[in-house]
Amino acid sequence: MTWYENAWRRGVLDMHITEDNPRFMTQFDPQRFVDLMLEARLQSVVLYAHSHVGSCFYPSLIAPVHAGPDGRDIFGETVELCHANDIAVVGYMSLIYDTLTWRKRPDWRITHSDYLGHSNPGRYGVCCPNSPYRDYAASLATELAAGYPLDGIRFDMTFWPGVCYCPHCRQRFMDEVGGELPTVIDWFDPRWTRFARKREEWLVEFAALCTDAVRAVDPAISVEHQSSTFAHPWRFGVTTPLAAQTDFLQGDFYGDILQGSFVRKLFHNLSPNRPGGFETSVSATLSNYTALKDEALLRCKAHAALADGCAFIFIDSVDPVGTINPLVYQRMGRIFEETQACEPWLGGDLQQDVGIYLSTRSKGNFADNGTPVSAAGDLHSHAPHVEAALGACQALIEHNIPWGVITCDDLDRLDRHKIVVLPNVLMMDAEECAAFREYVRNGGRLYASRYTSLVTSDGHFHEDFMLADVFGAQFAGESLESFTYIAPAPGHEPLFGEGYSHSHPPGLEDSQIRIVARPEAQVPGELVLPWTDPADPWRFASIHNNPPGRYTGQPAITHNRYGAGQAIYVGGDIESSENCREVFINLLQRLGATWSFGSDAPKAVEITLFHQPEESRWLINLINFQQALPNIPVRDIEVRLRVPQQALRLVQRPAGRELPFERHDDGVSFTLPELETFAMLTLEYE
Amino acid sequence: MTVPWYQNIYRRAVVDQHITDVNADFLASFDAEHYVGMIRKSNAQAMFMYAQSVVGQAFYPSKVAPVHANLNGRNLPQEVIDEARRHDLKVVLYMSLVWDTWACRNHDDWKVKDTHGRGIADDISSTQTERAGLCCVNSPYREYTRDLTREICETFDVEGIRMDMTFWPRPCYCRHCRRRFAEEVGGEIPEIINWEDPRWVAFQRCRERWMAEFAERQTQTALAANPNLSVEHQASSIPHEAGWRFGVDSRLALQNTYLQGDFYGGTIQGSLVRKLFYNLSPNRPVGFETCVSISLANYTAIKPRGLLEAAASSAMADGCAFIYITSIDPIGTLEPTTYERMGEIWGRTQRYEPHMGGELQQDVAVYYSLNSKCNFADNGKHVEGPGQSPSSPHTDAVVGACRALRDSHVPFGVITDTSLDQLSRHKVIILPDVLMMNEEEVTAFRDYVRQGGKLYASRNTSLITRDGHRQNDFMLADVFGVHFSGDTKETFTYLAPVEATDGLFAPATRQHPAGLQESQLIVRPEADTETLATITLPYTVPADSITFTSLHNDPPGFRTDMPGIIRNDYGEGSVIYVTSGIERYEHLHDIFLNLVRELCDDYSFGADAPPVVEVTLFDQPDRSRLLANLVNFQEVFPQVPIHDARLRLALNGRVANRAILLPDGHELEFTVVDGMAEISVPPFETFAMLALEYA
Repeated sequence: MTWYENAWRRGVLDMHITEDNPRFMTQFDPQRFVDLMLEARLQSVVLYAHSHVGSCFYPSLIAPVHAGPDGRDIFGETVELCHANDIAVVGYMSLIYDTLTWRKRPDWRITHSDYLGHSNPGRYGVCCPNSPYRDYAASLATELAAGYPLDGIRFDMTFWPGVCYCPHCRQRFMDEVGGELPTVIDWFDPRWTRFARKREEWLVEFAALCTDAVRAVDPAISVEHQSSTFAHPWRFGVTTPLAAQTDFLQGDFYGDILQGSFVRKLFHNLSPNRPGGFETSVSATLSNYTALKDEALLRCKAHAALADGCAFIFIDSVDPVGTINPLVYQRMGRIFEETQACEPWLGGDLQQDVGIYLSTRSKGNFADNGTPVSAAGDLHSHAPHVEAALGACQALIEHNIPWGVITCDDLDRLDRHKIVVLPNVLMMDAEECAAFREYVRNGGRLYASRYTSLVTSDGHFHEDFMLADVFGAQFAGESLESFTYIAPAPGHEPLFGEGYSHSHPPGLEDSQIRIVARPEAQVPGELVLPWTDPADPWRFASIHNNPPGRYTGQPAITHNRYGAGQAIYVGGDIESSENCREVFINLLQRLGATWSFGSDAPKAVEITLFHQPEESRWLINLINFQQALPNIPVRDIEVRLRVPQQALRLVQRPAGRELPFERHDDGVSFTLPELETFAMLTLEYE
Repeated sequence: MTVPWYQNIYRRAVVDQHITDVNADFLASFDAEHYVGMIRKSNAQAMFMYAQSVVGQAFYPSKVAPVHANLNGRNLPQEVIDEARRHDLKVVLYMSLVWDTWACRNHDDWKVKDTHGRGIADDISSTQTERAGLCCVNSPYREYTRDLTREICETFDVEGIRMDMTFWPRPCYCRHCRRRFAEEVGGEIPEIINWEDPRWVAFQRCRERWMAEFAERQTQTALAANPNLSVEHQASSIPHEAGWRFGVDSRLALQNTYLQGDFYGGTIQGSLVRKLFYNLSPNRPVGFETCVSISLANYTAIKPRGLLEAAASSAMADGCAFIYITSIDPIGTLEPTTYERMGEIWGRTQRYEPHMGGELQQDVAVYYSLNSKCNFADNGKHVEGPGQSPSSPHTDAVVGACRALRDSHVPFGVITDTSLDQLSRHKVIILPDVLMMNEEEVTAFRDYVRQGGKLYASRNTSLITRDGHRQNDFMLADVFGVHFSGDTKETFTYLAPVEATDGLFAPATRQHPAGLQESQLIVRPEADTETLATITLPYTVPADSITFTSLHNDPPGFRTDMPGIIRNDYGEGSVIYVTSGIERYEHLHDIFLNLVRELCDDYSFGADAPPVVEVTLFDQPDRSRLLANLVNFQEVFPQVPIHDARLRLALNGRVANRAILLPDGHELEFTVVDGMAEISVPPFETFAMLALEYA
């Protein structure tokens, strides 16, 4: 068994400390460090060998060595003490972000598209993985792996911080593609798209170089690359092939509750091994490290990770002199004492009736087409496909429907899912289309929206959907209007829920794809346009809004039977809009699947279900994670499980208290009397 | 004496009708019976009917304004008034000021102009560029609106008139403003923002005065036509996040019969503005208005039932009327679902109305200076240049203080310079980084403390006059017990407890002090003051990108003996002064609250309830009772019900006879401990109203 398989409690102590003061890192005490890790009940730590600053905490012969420890190998001493206390050690090494190297080697720097300005001057120096920096990084990795009996190595920051136009990238593009690097974003221009794909490819190659450097020394050392970037926008250049360069996925996240749930589900399927790791800071922000998050918030985050079968990793920061705030470890020790008690029941296969498809090559935005890269700012941060995927997940959580996040790595096992959702997948290749077509032909249910299957991964805009036969819809253009509506077709009003009607249809703050329905397809929704074009400031209907006025008679939704399965296509990405979540869920329901579980739990409660056939049981987790903390306890939650086995016993863990349940033809139902933050139950069967 | 129409009218309806006539179908299906029928369906008591809209067209045969082309001689307001009268519904007529697309498109000379003399389109929402025309109140537009107001008020027999949009959308540099500035101040209007330049500040004070004067002319015109009318000017501009740009201060409030405004922010915004209106409004109840749809731009998407009920309940908890806003369909019809939903909600909430009223208990008053809604960080920037601060540190500090007090169930109110003569009502007054202050304010706060009041003040409070003169020392230096001597160059700083105050700062300690992303003022304390915290500075200057300590942050490095928090006794009272605006930061709210409790820990109520539950308390001496309201207002709907809330009400020497749950009057058990009546609140989903009757 590898070290990480049962390491649910992990810690990181950030040590990006400079030498700009002779006192810095002079007081780091390995014994004190280990004592605090033990107090926090950690099973593993990420220990800094080399930081973003670029200096090492061990006597490197390659990189500069931090002067603070004054010749002491504090890294080696700590590794030894951790191992003596059964704490696994992952050595931390920063890639790309290396301030000292950036300052010393101008020719290694990531460079802006104007070929002049170097990115990130100042604190954060970023080096290009196409420059000779790559060899420097690989040799440093080799030195680290060979120097210490590490359990793992963590490579942080394996992503493109910006779009690089350094001479090395330009030369490489010239050699591999030909010509100059494009400087204007255009996702319908195969040349621009080629550049984007090259960046992704180059990054994976760089990651492989570093991974191989470690594995060449000792294949037993686990390798991680920073994994928080898989859902980040295109400019980070991170796609699913990067995952193959890590033994398990782990990343740090600072977003909302939905983000956490989403990435953990993504890790569950994408990670080469489990558990994946969900990491966040104990401080309110990384920039204000003495301000600690409330214990209630940390408790929720740690338990939410547990609910998804993930390890939880907290990040603290060392004081510049090398001391550590003991309050952090006392706080985390209390929280981990609670989560630790639940660990014996973890594991199994997450039930994901609905698979949300995340295309890591679709993290661009067609609205950026024609914009120079240099106009950057936050321009590239808007990723409609990712937002649609997140919206779909939020809707499923709120309706207590079992879901997961899948990628192209899962194309060969789509039949695990009762429904696959393709949320405005901007780019798709033939392999993906073939897999989805086969899935539906064989009885699968598909939901797809907007641009899905219209543009290939290499930037070719097709004349029709590549999945037109499956959707039962043909592409017929895009509405001019940037605010549009979908009205229920006669007889389909219930699909749209309370509050919407033919005369008051749901509005989308975006255009829609115009479609022609194939004769065999049903049309539950109609495209409705506003009275006037929202872009026309002179001729308008109403000052504050763009009311629905032109009922086009054209389909906005098609429902098509294909092979043994069926598909619903929607011309707008309704899953992105909070006001359309009911419609989205109703459309999924229309596909006729039954869910592995159901519940009346409020929206703040998420339920996950794992099957553990080797233990003859189901594991049910309920996490109450409200926006405002401490949580208000939820009482009397009804849960219905649809499981084929004959249930024997329902037990609340870790207390071991049996709960009454009711048997049904297709499963069981029970009431959870009260949920404050987390409840874990096992349903044992014959 | 006649009871004003609005006094017991807690349910009011607005149907937005900013409809053009670009299509012959528009408003062609308007039917007063259907319209009023929908309003009745919602259980509203009063309605706001459009006489004229932001588009600029009148919905009646006006002789002043252009008439909507599809009326064909009809008089829509009169049709609605006639129908409303049959059902005993109160009617207020709506007209738009400043925002008038027709006037703007037809009178270039009336437009609000930028520094280059160009007419400015509305840019509040980029999707609506050029739709709305903005007219300058110093141009002949003022005569036009006066005539229109007179015509409306003389033509229709209604309860009131609502004048929307009485604010500056942005600074105007039209020839009329330029001439007026030259006459009243002299010279050209400055174009560079500088809150320490008396000329720039003079321009801002002119804008505020000009707008108040315009509002006064409008109000007087309306009252001259019909002295029985209530008059309203849009009041959401008073605390608006646009800050100084709207050019609105407390003088505008005086031109209203009562304050009412529409708001689209979070729960703290609602709580704050209702408490602000409560004290600022010439009459009560004030009105809290919001749209039924998720946004004005997406009007077919209706908010969840639970959210609307929580919003309506919150208004009730603050003794406020609740006003919903819907939109008419362009053809003139109304969607029944919306009105049915409101009818269902108001059907429940109206049972509480007979119990409302009394005096809001506001032990702690947060002072909101409506002349301090600016940001010194903008000094030196061009008025139309990029990079202007979206918010004001004073407003942020006001919001932060209110949030901290609300979340921990401390009775609070929001006051302005109109309350300076009644400061003694409050046990503690908070002066949250009040950027500008005049002599009248300084005198009032000094007298308040001298006579036994407790004051909390932070950062720049009393350092700069309202006319933009930076002082060498705090005008309240004697009260604070400290003297100004500078500003740290570090923009990320820390506050560390001293030995005696460790408990106030937990979990922050001297080694790991509380950090905040701003500089601090350097002050010299008087000898007899008590230092509660000192300033700790980072090892390196955060602005220095070459020499730094740690990549992601600026750790505390140098403990100084510079005071960061000082306590001073002055006269019969006492003061805590903080060199930074800690109330702005959520992670420092515990420290802020501990400091407030250091000043006073004896409040009219306390509660054991989650922060999402807001408690308000009204004293109703005429009914010999205290009225407590609890509103559960979460971010996700439907809400998780509250089961175990406990309420403690101070008896202040009175004897509690009976606690009841309203409106049904179920008796509740209570105990009296240390002069507080303790009551377990029965489980509730959104709203609970309790009364404690006393002898």
